[in-house]
Parts: sequence; C-alpha cells; structure tokens
Amino acid sequence: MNAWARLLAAAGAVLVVLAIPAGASAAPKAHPRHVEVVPPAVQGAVNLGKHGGYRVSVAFRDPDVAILTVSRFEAARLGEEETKYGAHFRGSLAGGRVRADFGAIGSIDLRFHRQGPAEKVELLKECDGKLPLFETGRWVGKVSLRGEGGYFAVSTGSAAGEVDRVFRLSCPVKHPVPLPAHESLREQVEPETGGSLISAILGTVSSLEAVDTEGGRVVALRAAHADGTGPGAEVEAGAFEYQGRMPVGRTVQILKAGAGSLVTSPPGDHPATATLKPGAPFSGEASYLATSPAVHSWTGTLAVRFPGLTVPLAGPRFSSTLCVVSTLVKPEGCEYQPPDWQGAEESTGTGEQG
Amino acid sequence: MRVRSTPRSIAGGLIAVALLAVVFLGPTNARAAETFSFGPGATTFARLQATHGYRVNFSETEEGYFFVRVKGHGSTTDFATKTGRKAGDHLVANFGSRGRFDLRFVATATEPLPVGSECEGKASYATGYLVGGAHFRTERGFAQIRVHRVPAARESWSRLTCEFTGGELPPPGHPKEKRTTFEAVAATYAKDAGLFAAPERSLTFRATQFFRHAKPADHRVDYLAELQENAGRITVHRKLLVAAPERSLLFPGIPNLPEEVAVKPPAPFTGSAELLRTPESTFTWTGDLAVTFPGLDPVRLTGPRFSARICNHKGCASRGAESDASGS
Repeated sequence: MNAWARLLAAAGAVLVVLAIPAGASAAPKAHPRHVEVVPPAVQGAVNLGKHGGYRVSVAFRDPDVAILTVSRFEAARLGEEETKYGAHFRGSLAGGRVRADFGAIGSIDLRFHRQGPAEKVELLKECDGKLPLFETGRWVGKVSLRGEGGYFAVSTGSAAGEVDRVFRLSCPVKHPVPLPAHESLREQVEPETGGSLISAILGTVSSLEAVDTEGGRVVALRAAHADGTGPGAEVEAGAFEYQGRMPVGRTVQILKAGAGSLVTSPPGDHPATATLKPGAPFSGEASYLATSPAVHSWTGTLAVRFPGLTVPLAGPRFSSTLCVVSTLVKPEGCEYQPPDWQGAEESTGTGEQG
Repeated sequence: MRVRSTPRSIAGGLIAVALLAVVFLGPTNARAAETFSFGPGATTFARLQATHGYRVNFSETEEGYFFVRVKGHGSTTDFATKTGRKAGDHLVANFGSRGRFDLRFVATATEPLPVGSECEGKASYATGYLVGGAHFRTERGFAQIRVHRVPAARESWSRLTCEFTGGELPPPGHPKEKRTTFEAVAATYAKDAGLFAAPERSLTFRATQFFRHAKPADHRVDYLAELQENAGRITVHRKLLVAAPERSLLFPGIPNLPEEVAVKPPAPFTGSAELLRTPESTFTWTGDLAVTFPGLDPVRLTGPRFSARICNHKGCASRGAESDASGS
C-alpha cells in the first residue's frame, strides 16, 4: 500500500469528520469511531533537469520502485509526451542510498545529502504519531542514462532532489475510508487512456478508439470530441511493453488538436466513416469505414512519435471502434455506448525505435 | 494499457464535494418554514401613455434606483440608473440626453395595504399626483413623454417579517408544455472583468417550441430577443417577444440529428438562421437572422460570437462562443 495514498485518504476522512459538526450545528457532535493507521513509508525524487528538450526525473517509492520519467509539455496545444521506465531499486530509501538499473537506458547509483532542516508537514494534527517530514537536498553519485536513439542523455554526479518521510500515524475517523489498491511496478508505469477531465465532465459526442495488442507491445489510440467544445479533437495514444524485465510506458496526449483533426459521418449515417489527422507528434492520417454494421476497417498512414519510439496507429493489426451520437437522442454521450471492437488480424512485428 | 480512472475520479470527487457543500452550506432544515425580513421602504410609481402607442411606467425604489419602462407593440425596454438617493417625496433622476425627472409626490388619499397572512408589519398605499417636470425620449423618439402633473401612487411599508411555508417554489410552467428550446447568446465583457462579472452587453435569441397540441396553433413557437447593456451609468434592457406557427421552426436533421434547427421568425425579426452540426461534431450558427429593437438599427443574431444551446425532453446539445471572432 502506498503510504502517501493512505495518508491522503486519512486526511480526507479527518477533514470530513471535522466538517460534519461545523455544517450541522444543531446535530450532536460526531464521535470518531475508527482509527485509520497510516504505515511508515518513504518516497523520494531526483530532478535531473532538461535534456534534449525533455524534462528528466526519477521517483522512488517504497518498498523498491524506481520510475524514470522523461516528458515534455507543449502549452499551445495542451500537449504532453511522456515515457516512463520502471525498475526495482536496491539499497535503502530511508537510509538515502539507492541503486537502480534501467536496462539498456542506463543506471543510477545515488546517495541523498539533506540540505537545511527537514520541514514538518503539518497536515494531520488530529493524528497520533510523528508528523511527516519533507527533506530537500542533493543526490550525489552516478547517473548515466540515455534514451532509445539518444533522444535524451544524462550523465552527472549530482542532482537536486527530495525525500519525504511518513511515520506511523493513527488518525481517528468517523468512517473507515476505502483505500486505493496496491499498485505493482507495471501498474505504475502502464499508460492510462480514457479521456481528459473535460471529456469526463462534458461527455463526448464522437470518439474513435484503436488498439493493437500484438507483438509484445500494446498500442492504443483514442480521439474524441467533447460536447460543446470548439473545433479540434483531443487525441491521445499510449504504448506499453517490457524491455527485458523493465516495463516501459509511453503516452502522448493533445487536448486541443487542430481544427478538422477528427471528422466523422453524422450519427446514424451508413456507411459510418471517420478520418483522423491530428498533426505532430502524430503523422499521416487514417480512415475508418464501416462497410456494413458487422464489418469495418481502420487503415492509413497514421503514426505517433512517443519519446523514444515511433509506431503506426492504423492497419490490419488494430481493433477499432467508432461512436458518434446526438446528445438529444443519447444524452449520456459516447462514454455509455457499448464499443464495437472489430478488425484485428493475426500478425507479428514491432514499431521502429528512435 | 489501463483505462484512465483519474478524470472520472476527479469528476466524482467534484460532485461529492458539491453534494457535501449543498448538505453543509444549505438550509439546516429545508422542510421547516423560512423567515424573511425586509424594509422599511417605499416605492413611488406612475403610468402614462407615451407617443406612438407606447406606454411608460416609471418608479423610484428605496434602494436608490430609478426605472423607466417603455412598453408596446410586443417590445419592452427598461432603462435604469442609480440615483443613490433615499426614496422620499421628491423624485429626481437624470438619464442624460434621454431625459430628466424632477417630480414631487402629493398624496390625496392613503389607505392601509394588507401585507398578507404570512407577513407581520404594516404597509400603506397612497394615491395622488407627481407634480413638477419630467421629460423622456427614447432613441430616435419612438416613444416620448413630457409631463408636469401625472397621477401616481406610493407604496410604503414598515419592517416586514414574512414566513414562507410552502416548501420548494413551484417550477415556472409545466415542463411538458415545452418541447424544444433553443438559445443563442453573444456576450461582451469588459477587458478587466472578473470571472463572475456581468457582461457589458448581452444579446440573446431564444425560440421555444410548445407542446404539439398547444392552442392557438399559430402561437406554438415563441421567439424572444433580448439586448442588455450594462456599460455606463444607465443600464438598458430591451426585450421583444413574438409568437409564430410551428412552420417557422424546422428540424432539417430529424431523425438522426434533432439538434439541427432552422428558424425563420416573423417581424420584427428578419431573415433566417440555422444551427447545423459539422463533421467535426461542433455546431455552426449561421444565417442572416436579425432583429430590430425599437429605436435601434437591426442587430444580427448569428455568427461565431454566439454560444448556442438546444434542448429537448431528453437532453441538450451546445456550442461555445468563439471569443476572438467579431461576429456581426
């Protein structure tokens, strides 16, 4: 269990408990009936700065998870590109000594030196136990990392960073809080697709999804148009694979692609068609054509350039599904329409690295 | 690959927070009676016939506002200015080039005014005359008044305490009366306006299609145009409402695209307009639809600066305004 997740959940529970008497002044004072125990935990981070246009950092989480994140953000199109490499570190995060091997990408061997006094995180004064500590300082040792094809490269002996320590806390709460499930290394690296906050709130009136699960790599694509928004779809793609024993997850998300990026036939039209042309870091375009209600195709030259990997996003290996609705007929939007996955054929091979 | 749960969790969290806020910040007991207190105060008002078949009402309120309403031929135009004066027997307001009011109320009869069984307090109703001088002329003189003596009335009340026991307020009209509503709004804000600031200018076009068997048949669609201007010392709110038969409101995309609508309202509207869904699943609101408010040049009611929203009994579809477009 992630201690910080538990800590935040407990914080939420305590705040709810504290809010209830304030909101209902006439009601009898609430009595906490449960004790939420937050286990001790440590997490840390190393900020390696910008290299090759990408921000590079490493996060450490108890008990032994190290995640190397390489990312960049483009404000104009609200676009983000990110690749995560996962590894199990050796050493002791509490003792400030970690060594992690990221396979072909490289390795790190670092010791933490605190600079200045530790800062107490006075989040949960209602709880019994030592307050969490936030320490800033420098990680000193050896960092040697190089992305696929050299899209980023870091070689340094020192970098700024932090270590956060949570000690065992007992927090009185009125109701036990459902806690987030433990996440494996794979789950922490695996990209998440499924839409933006805007899509979740407004609902989508058109969406196109495609997935390729063959060749040891999962590649997924989603393009959607949220209700009431202007021209230009939100487009995202993700890829997940193992490089040896190291899980690698990649994501590209553009919340505001150019006008005309996703064009579809109207709802109820036959044959249903769609064309997707999102622009960089995507390239080419692809077309969806439903020749009958039971048969459709997803073809074209569409590809995406993740940090460190370029892969096609259309073709016979992809299953695909298209949804176009009128919110005056189906007010729930595409999120609540059953998908119509079709189209994947058996084949082998992977994308091109670099 | 995992389907992202974060946005839904955040949305769910926001909903939960909103619900908590409603629970904790709302009334402690919605079923119990609510008590309201207001006053003391007074308002003085007069009604008279203006030129060209229009009627004019004007009033001064306790809060230091002076209102002039010009009504006729299906249109209502409200002019308001803040005088900052405490209401008394002397009514003074300056509407600049539109006119001035400088009148004194002379009561000829006063009678108690029932405040209703739900309220405690006293109120009175005085009739008499406003004497002095007043003139008011709307844009291009579509209605004007010039008076030295006009019948008037004055309502005044002590501090009133009223108890509201009716539970929730009844909804305005039965929802089944309306089949489809369409609204397009273009709003202009001051450059340094805050998030919750009222627009300097707001232009609204609304079409309401009533129940299929509503009578009379040639009044099954209502068209409304509103223009609200808040900039400057005087606020002006213009409203036009006309009824029309169903054939003035068409749905060219039915059955697959019921959100597509074409309107051709009668005078004082001119032209027509269409809300159409694009292949990008956005909407365009185009056409030469315009409206002529009394005293003004025609105002265009279409273009990219308009947000638009159409709703039926199942749901709504909308488009956002394009703020950088000039529109009409």
